[in-house]
Amino acid sequence: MQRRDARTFLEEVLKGVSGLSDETRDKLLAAVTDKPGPKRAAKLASVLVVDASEEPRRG
Amino acid sequence: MAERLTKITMQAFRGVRDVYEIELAQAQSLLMYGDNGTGKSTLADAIEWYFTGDIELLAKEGRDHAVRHLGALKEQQTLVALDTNGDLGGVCTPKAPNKNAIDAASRETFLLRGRTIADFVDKSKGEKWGALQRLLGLGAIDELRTDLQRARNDLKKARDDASSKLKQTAAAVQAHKVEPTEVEGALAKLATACGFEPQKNIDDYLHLNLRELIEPVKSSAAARRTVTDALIAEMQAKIEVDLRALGTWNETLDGVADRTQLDVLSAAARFVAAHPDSKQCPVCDKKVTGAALKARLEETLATLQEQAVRFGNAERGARGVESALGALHQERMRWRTKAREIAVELPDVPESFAVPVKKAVDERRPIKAKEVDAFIASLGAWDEEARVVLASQTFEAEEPQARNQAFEFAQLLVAAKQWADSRVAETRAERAFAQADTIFEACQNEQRKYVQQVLEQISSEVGRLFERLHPSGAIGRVAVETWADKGIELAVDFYGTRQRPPHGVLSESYMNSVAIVLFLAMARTFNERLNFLVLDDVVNSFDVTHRGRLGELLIEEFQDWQLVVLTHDRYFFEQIRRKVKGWAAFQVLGWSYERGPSLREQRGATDVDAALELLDVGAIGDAARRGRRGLEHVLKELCEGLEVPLPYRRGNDNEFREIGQLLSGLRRLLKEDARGKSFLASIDGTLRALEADAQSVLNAEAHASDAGPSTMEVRSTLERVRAFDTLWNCPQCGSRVWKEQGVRCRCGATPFPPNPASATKAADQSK
Repeated sequence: MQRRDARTFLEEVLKGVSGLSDETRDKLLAAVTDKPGPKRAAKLASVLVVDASEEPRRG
Repeated sequence: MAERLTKITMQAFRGVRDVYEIELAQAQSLLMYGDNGTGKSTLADAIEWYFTGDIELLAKEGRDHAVRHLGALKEQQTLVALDTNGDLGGVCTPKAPNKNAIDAASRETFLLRGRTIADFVDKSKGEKWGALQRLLGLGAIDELRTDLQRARNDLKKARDDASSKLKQTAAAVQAHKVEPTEVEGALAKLATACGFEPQKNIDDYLHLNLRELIEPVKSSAAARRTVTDALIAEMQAKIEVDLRALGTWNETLDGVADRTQLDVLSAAARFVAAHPDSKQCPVCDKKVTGAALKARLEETLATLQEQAVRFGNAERGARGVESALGALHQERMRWRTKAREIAVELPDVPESFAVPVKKAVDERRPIKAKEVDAFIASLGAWDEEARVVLASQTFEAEEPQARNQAFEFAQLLVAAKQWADSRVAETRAERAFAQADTIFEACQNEQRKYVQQVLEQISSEVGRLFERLHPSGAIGRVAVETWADKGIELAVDFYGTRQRPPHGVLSESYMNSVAIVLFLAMARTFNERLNFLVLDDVVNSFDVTHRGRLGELLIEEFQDWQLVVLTHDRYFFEQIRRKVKGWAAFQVLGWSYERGPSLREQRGATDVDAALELLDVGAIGDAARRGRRGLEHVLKELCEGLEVPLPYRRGNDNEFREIGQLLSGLRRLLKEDARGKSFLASIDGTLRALEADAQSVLNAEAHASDAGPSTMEVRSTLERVRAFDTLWNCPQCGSRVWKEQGVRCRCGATPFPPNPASATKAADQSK
């Protein structure tokens, strides 16, 4: 068994989450490399907000 | 490659104002002892900061700035530089963390702090879980979970706010007695009422120039009033038609006897005028020249000429009356049409009398003046009636209704637009929250699974290491289990039963042990890059026995690791220092704002060794003081290990016992123990000598006014202290021989009480 860092861990988590665009996945994974804390949390939230507003366009 | 530290340099960092270096050229282990607040943890902070980019203690409440020493000079940049025996060495500054090192360490376990253990032992459930993650080196994953939870909570709040806004905007629509779902129909109805085309959806109305569309509706009443007033004004004018021409016409017709003859002659005259060269009479066809014919006609017509002129004038006058009467009729027809445009119906206009007048003129008939007067009178009556109708119009009743509809439309449109926007925002917020919730739940599940896998993998190692600290065998498998609603807890086997959480059955020190062995097992099982472990004040709740066992465990089980052990516990420090070779050992003497920590390297294994070194360089007084402290430490360790009952003293005084008091307690204990009595008899002489030494040779204050003890006296005393210290060690395994269960050295070879003869022999051999 390999130890995981936060990024590889999130990659594994997102594999089980449907309905996210590739772009959103990439943005979430990129955000994980930021310093942990409220700012990173806000960034993660904003990525999901953008994803939600673009979903109807993706159909 | 498994890397070790070879040099640690701190500059303007935490408790270090200038530069502070610790050299570990052989990548050897490091042991550091110092009181609280002397800067030991600055070293752990430096390593943590270098390999994680953060200091956990400073990660909250915006304490990041505290990485820099407050009094550091401007030109001195805050930095930590690490040398390693591999490729992870380098420099870390606040703006340039060492990403290579951070990336390598992100999957490793290397730092254990006393406060993490404290969190694990006695904090709330959530904090314990966080502490467990840090113990296992999975802090980054737990921080990710925390941030995803924060994001989810933020989005939940945004969703709730959006829902609340939607309700408010829906209520605003409902205030217009319209259900939000039917608002488009209501807008269409109002648009029609306001006189413009209904649109398909709400946004389409926003593209219209509603001001222009609604303005005419608002001003129509005024316009109608204006039209009405103008019509009434026009109707005020008096009808004036000159009817004298009609009398002339009638009189002229009476004076003409034969109007046919007149007509024929007139026609002949017109013919001759049109055909001046004709040579034939148009009546009898006889040959005649045009001039002759003209002369003959003029002669004939001469009498009729005057009548003809009068008749022509009378006809023109009659035609003028006909035209005037027609104009009067036309004007009233126009008024009626205009009134209809503003929705006012005027009476029927009397039939025009111009037509009968025209016919009479054409037929050369007289025109009855009375009939014409009657017609004009009927027009005057019509004017009066029309004025009454117009004057009776009241437009005020319609006007507010039209205006209200326009306002109603505008207000409903604003409310509808806000509601539609809120609905879109709420849908998006709900979608974002749902996605965040899904991700968070997935993260939590994955984390639980992952931690479970990790614990399964280290479980046997945890059990084995725990057994070394607590040989009773009471604790078995350690794992994470689900508990209640999505709760996760650490569980242990305790005397054959599953206990969850273990805090319920384990004492504080046992929980302390669980935390330490989880950390050690994790590092040993998974570390690939880092071959060093930093333990910062991890034995706070251990008694002397367990401190000893932990020291032995670290020394024996982690020989192939570089250990950085920082402690304020003198016994723990001494106990490790006594048993290891090749470690760097430092005592932090103190800390100052300007200089940071002051270190003294401890080369000798014990205080007695250090005292002998001082003696060798002629520092007799310092050697005596150090020797006295060594004796105190040995006696304190013995009293604690043998559980000597000492009278309780309030507060810190309980920690500071005089040598005489410790010796009395030790004597009392041995006297009361069946096995101890004979042992006491054999060492009583030594105890008396030590008591005397403590009051004379090792008592620097007693010699303050005279020459003090000689080198030989101090040396002899130090040797006695060393022999007494060694007496309590097992000659085979070197561990202390305590009283517990008859035999308490680690290897089991030496029973309590120890044998002075064999101890002396062992001491001689070691010399």
